[in-house]
Amino acid sequence: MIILVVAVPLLLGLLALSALLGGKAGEFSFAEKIALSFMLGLGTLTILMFILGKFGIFLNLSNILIVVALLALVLIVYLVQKRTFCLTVPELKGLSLQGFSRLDWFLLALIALKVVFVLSFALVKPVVDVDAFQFYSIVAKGVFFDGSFTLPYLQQFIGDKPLLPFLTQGWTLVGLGSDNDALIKIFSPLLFTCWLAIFFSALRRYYPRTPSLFFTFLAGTFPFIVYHATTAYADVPVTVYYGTATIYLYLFMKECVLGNRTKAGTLLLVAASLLGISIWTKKAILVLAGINVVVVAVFLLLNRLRLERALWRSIAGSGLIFILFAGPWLVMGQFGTIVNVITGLFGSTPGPVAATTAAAVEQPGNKLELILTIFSRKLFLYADWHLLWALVVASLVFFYRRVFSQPLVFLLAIVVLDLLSLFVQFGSGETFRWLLDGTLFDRLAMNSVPVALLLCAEAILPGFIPGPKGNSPAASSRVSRGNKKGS
Amino acid sequence: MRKYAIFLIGLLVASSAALALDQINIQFAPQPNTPYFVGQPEFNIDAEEFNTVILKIKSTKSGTARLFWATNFDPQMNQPKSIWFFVDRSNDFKEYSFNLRSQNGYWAGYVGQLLVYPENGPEGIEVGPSQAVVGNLGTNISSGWREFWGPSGRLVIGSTINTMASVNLFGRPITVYLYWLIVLAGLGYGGYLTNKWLAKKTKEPFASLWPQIGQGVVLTILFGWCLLEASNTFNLWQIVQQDARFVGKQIEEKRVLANTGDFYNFILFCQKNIPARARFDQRIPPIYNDIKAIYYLYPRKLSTTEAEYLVVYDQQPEANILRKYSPWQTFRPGALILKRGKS
Repeated sequence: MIILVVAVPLLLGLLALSALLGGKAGEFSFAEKIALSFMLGLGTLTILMFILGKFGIFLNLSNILIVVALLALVLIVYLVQKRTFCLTVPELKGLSLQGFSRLDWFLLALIALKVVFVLSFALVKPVVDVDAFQFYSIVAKGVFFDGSFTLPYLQQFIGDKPLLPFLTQGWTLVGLGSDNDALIKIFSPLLFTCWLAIFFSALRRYYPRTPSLFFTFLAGTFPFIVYHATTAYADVPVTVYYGTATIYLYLFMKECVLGNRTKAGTLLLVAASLLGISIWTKKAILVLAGINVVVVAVFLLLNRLRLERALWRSIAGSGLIFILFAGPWLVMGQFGTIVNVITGLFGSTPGPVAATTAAAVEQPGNKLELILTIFSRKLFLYADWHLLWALVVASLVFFYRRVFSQPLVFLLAIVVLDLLSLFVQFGSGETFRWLLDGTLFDRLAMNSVPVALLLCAEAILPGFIPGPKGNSPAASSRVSRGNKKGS
Repeated sequence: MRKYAIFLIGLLVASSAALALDQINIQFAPQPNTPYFVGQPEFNIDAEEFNTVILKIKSTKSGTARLFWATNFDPQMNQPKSIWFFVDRSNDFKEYSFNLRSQNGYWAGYVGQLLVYPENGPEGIEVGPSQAVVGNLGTNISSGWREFWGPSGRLVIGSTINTMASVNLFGRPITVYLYWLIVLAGLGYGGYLTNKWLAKKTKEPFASLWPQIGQGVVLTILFGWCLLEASNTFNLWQIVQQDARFVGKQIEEKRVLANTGDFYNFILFCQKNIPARARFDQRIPPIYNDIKAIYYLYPRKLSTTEAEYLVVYDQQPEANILRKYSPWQTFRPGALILKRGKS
């Protein structure tokens, strides 16, 4: 039954991705398309379950499968009419690992080892972490036993949290037909794997295989993400959805700068759909998604003269896709959450000051100093991120020309604004206590980690690619296009 | 006052005697009905001078242990004044060197007593005659090695879900040393490139050296990153060892293993006796078992006002609650289900 649990979102996602990409699917690698399909399918399944639940329909296997089948049918009819599908037979036949050097194989083996570790460590033991018990997994049991997440008893566990972690775990139990809380964590390691596949594919568009694999290896080493990928918490889903959405947003900007407008439009569609789904993962994403929207808006404003009408159509389409995915949660879910998050962000409704905040830290100067100290210690001296933030600093100091030029400066803006948003969030109210007691900061900082690593890769790699072609994004793009086979 | 003065004089005499020695012997002995060994030094240890403790431990099992100490500043044994270390399985007494002054800032003042607490129980463990010594290069290397590969920052504990401490070396996160390495490598490489640039007859702009230095720095960072990942692989191996106990077990057996004591067996007992859709209240001590009970007992729902059943696990219910319920099913003394109404 675990195959059913994974296969349903994957197949649904393959259809959704095919509809989304249309004839542009060839621009994406096989692994990337599988990863994207799974992520899109999981998000779509969540939205379907949400709508069913909101209409009071019992969430059992047959009801869910009927609705999935209906949607699949609509998509199939559309795809048959358009004569398109994201995977093709020649593509499947052409899959090969030819041309891999020994170093490539070694890196691939290390990445595979991490994936196997994460999968087995997640699935071998039952739920053991406290937030999973008291929030996500108990609601999943509610979906399994009572066929609903809207029961008043379950609302106390959901609160104003977005529903993807609850409903995907609920789907797992429904699909399994048992309350096996070892297998309930199946999606976290799979999303971790998707993140690695997409990160590799994003780099592979512009750089040779070995450095792309090396940075993907680095992407799989963050101890904190690896640990979270084995739990039933919401932090890996939010990191993966938001991280990959931002990666595609950056690729969109990069292709715009390179002048590949058609390609850029497709990438923006993918980014918009992932960002829309990320709204369903965790409350904190509302701020981060807002940052992405603002940054891309600034990018478009600055580059408006160079953008063609066709691209504007893609932008409008992406806006619609974003609303399509995020809309049900924003409209039928907790619209008030957005208001709370925004007002909380600007301090208009400060929460109660926690008991642990000593009077001394209430003075603004001391508080700022304390926040800065904790920020720097957490980013640089803990084991969570290895040497990522040192690499970010080195990228800024030594490769500032590349970092502060288009399009990378927009990715930098996203990373900085993401971190600043934490700064603002932790500045007041209840969350300040969480900063002091160390329960939340690392988990929120995790959201920015994929983006920060991409920033480093984009800043550093062109300088390491030999030859005159290596030093500009445009050039490296040409290099990769000429060397794409066997990726 | 007089007692205090005598104590101080005694302390001074003992300390001066200790200063004349190379080492202070510590005799450890198990305490009746307690899971730890108490160590009594022959003199109070001047922590400033005798910065290193060498324990001799023989153990039939591997596991973790804590070394606590009591000082004249704080005579209680408590976690801040402790270090955490791995105990290896060994047939003979094995030496464990700890430069406590570098590992823990609370190794200060005069230390009058030590305590070794094996976390997997004292059975099969002997702590032999040990010493407090003035550390030398050998003991420092041995201490650093043991600290680096110790459980702190490596084993999964409750707080791992929120943050992961770095492994330490001489009381500092290992990343601090790597940052020093990166800075020195950057300076060294920068100096080398500048020297080469100065020697050239036709010079490219000096600014063009900057990205080259950056490449050197980046390579050093990536080297450090790979070292950290190699060290992290050892942590993952610890996790694999920890979780090997779950392999091949049914889900109920896994839950029994994942919980402490007989808690999950008690939950199974409750699941068997309380109807599936019933409401229950609970008296289960926090932290976490109370939350776990709500999770495990679902679809039975927690209610603090209308519960038909009261689940009690090692916590005495209040008198007014006991007036509403009477004992119904007993799992063991202290762990039972009460039912609303008088029997």
